[in-house]
Amino acid sequence: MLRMHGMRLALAGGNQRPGPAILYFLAGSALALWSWQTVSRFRASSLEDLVFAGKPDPPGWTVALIFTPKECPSRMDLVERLNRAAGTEVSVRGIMLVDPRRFPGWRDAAVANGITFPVRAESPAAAAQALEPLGGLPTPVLAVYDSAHRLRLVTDLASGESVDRLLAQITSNASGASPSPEPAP
Amino acid sequence: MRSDACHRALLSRSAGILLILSGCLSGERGEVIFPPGGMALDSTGSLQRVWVRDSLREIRSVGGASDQDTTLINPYMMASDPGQIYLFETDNRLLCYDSTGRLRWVQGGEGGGPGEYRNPRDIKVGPGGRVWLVDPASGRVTLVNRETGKVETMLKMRLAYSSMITPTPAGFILYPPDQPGDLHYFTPQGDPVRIDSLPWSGYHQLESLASQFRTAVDPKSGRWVLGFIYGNGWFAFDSAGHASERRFYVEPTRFPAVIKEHKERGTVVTSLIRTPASALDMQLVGDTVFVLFDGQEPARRRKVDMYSWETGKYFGSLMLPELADNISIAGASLRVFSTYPEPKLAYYERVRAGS
Repeated sequence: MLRMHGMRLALAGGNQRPGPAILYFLAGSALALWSWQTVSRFRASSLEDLVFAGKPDPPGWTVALIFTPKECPSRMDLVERLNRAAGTEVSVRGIMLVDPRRFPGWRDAAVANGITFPVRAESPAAAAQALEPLGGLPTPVLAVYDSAHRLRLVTDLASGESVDRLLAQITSNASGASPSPEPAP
Repeated sequence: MRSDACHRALLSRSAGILLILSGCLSGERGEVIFPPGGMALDSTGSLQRVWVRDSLREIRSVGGASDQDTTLINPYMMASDPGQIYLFETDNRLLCYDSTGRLRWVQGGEGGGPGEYRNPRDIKVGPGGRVWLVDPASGRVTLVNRETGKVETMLKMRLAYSSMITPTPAGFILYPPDQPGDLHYFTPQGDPVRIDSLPWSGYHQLESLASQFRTAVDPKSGRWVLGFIYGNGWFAFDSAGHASERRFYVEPTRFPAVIKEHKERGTVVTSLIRTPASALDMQLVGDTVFVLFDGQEPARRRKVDMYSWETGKYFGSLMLPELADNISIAGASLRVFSTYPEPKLAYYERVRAGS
């Protein structure tokens, strides 16, 4: 109310040139909003960008758990197996879809879930965009890439038991020889 | 020149302020609330499990044959006495099966009329053999005759909510999460008698989602038990309501952390963070407390731990042949209700080792 009142007073007084100040404020606001949206949009335009963004390429297979701080507890049951897999040849990473300004304690959510592999925060909007071509999978999502960064599996963890078996297979695959190259055409 | 510099400064300041405000003005924020003691496993009282070598032989089952089997649609609660099993379906029907798996009667339906339900949260067999259902959405407690399936009594709940009911020889107990006192005792007519607290101060430091519990009553003696669904602890009560000290499960567990989201207009949404559960179901028969336990692998949802009601001492565990949501023990007969992969009520016979 005070600020509004002050603005009206400034508009009424001609000597302080309030008009351009307000225009600059609005222009600055629009620019900032545009920059923020642009950065969010291009930060992760595909699932691969989302999974590997900002990290050096790991040498082997990569398993990524994409989740929000508030997930169905039963669907997060595979965290124990992922924790164990993280100690093998498989690179396991967590991507928490969260706005750290609104949820500053997002690391606490990783701790409370008992996650021991590295987790980073990503914009939920960017993830939605990355998952859209895959039918907009609901989180939590598990994505598996082989050592050549080819997407081998993406699942929404609807069936915990089958994912458990898949993970066991991936771990044993990764510990063996690297996948055979694509056959020549 | 000076004016231009001022305007540029104003521009950059405006952009910065806007970036900060865009995160804060919405008023939404989230936080993680850890339980007292943090996320460490509470190993108090934990022991190595001792497996009872008895085998379980399935003698009959109801439902569960395939996803085409519509005998059981989606029951979510079970109660039992030595002769009968009561399953409550999501369409608000109460089904009664006898000890041979035969459907004896069906009662209930969706609605607010006599004998109808909206969303019952607990079902128990009380002293006298009647079946008790607490339905907070209807604001009432319903008592059903075990022989006929007819509604005998409907009592108005004097509390806004309780997800549990414990019938006792002197009436019944409700557990409102948002009122002073933990245990609210009522007469058989539904009039309030007294209010008690659980004899453990740690309970009152827990978020209500993290401090959920189950109860089980022995209809014969009127004694009952209360055990945490998450976290380590259970209590024994005699028929007059005198409680034991906090007792501990054989397997270490932890109370879960919760996420609190502060929405606009003061709304707070609380949700539970992943943790293995403790007591999935409990039953009290004579002096033996049976606890269907989740816990850690192996055999999650298949472990039935046994304790003494009198002393709290652990004296062995049974391994179920399949996943279970509810258990019922009557002599050498074990009845198991499971929702996975399809709803199924299985009847087992306990064959003693060496016999």
